[in-house]
Amino acid sequence: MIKALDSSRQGMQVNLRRHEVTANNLANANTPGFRRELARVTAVERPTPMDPGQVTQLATHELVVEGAAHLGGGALNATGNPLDAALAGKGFFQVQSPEGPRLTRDGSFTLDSQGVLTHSSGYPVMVDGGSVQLSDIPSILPDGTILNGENPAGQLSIVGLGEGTQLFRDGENLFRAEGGTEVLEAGEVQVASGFLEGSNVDPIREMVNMIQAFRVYELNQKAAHAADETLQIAVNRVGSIR
Amino acid sequence: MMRALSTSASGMRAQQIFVDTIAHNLANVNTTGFKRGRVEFQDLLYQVVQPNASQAAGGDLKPIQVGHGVRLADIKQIFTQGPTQVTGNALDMAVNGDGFFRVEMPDGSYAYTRDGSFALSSEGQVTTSGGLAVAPGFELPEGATEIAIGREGEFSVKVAGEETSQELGSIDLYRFANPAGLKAMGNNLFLATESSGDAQEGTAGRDGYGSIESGILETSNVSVVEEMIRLIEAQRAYELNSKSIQTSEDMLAVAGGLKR
Repeated sequence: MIKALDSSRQGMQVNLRRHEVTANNLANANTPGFRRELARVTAVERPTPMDPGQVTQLATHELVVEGAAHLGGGALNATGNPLDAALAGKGFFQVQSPEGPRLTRDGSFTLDSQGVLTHSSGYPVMVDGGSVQLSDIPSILPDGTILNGENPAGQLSIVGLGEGTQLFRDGENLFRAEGGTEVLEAGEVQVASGFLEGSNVDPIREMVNMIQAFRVYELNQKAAHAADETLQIAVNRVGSIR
Repeated sequence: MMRALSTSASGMRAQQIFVDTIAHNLANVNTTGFKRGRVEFQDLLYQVVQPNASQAAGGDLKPIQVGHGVRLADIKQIFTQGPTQVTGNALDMAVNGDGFFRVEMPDGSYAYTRDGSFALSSEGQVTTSGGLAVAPGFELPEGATEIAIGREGEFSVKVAGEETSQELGSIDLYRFANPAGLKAMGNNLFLATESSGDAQEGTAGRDGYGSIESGILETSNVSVVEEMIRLIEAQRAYELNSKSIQTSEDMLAVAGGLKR
């Protein structure tokens, strides 16, 4: 009896979380390089201690929302700014945060007061494993080479994900990779200068998810009501003499 | 009370700034030398809401992170060439290519502009339409006529009664390593910042600097079609976020309905 109430509670909590994920995706519909998050609900069996004499077995299911970044590409938008770069294929740019390298698909770069190529988060963009200081008019070539005026100043460190590597989000359009990353060679990447990659949020999918999450949330509330009604009968009517 | 409410509110705020920027661009669609602005966003912090998911699942599920929405990262000026317009006035100049004119502010500091609709002051100085002197400047001699400006900025005049024209000097151009880092200060003027780097002086038409075209003005680089597309994007995203707020509110109402 009480188990039914608990299941409804879980159902509501899980769908609230799904809605929060959708809300975050929609809030970032126009964020460059943003990767939409998938909320996947899985039921996990957790066996309960059974009565020795009990015939049917009941398992409590725990619902888990699994978050995963969906890495499909976003559309490339022309900006006309030579320091904007988009990756036309696979890979991530790397930036040097104080806690170690971070990955990003957002290539809105700028120069700081020392002329160091920096990401919009304020961290230096990694070039040949370090950072690069530019004094002349800079440009970025399709193979990721950075030119300082006419002279090559370095190669953007663009990495791919190794087998089983997981991405965590750090905000500011940055990802933290847990597991190995592999540096992609110049021939494997295609950098479009003067372009920014949009987010890969799909409004239709998000709206469908939102409706689903809301309706299932509502259904779980109805189920809680039904359980409540049954309890009420049990409490008030069973055993009363009429 | 509900994370999704503030997440969606941040989304609506961000899209509002997007629309504000588009409105500013469209308002300046006919402003000489105007450079369009472009907003950039960043996602906000993520919070781990279920650290032990992997344990519960008994598998290799990772901790669940829920995001908190979006914030404005930057509004950048985009310095692509704008279309030109022939005016026939010798003192109207357009930079064809890279480079800015430099003008002197009343306090002696310098500002930079792509707006070459210059005029002569009562003292015979070349000034912007706002009255700021072009720097380095030169004074026109008494009775100067037939002002001519060459492609490399050579500024020559003919003085009444003389046979040949005399060259007074040249108008130099200035470039920046990162023009997107310039600070717009209104009146078609830009200021150098730490991000833009220091101005590099050069002669027009040489070493990558644009040439100066006299009798022509550079108009705004705002493309109406592009701004309209961005406007649709911004408006629809705004709408989606408002729907998300509505849904959050409905969910709260459902939760409130649990207890009868």
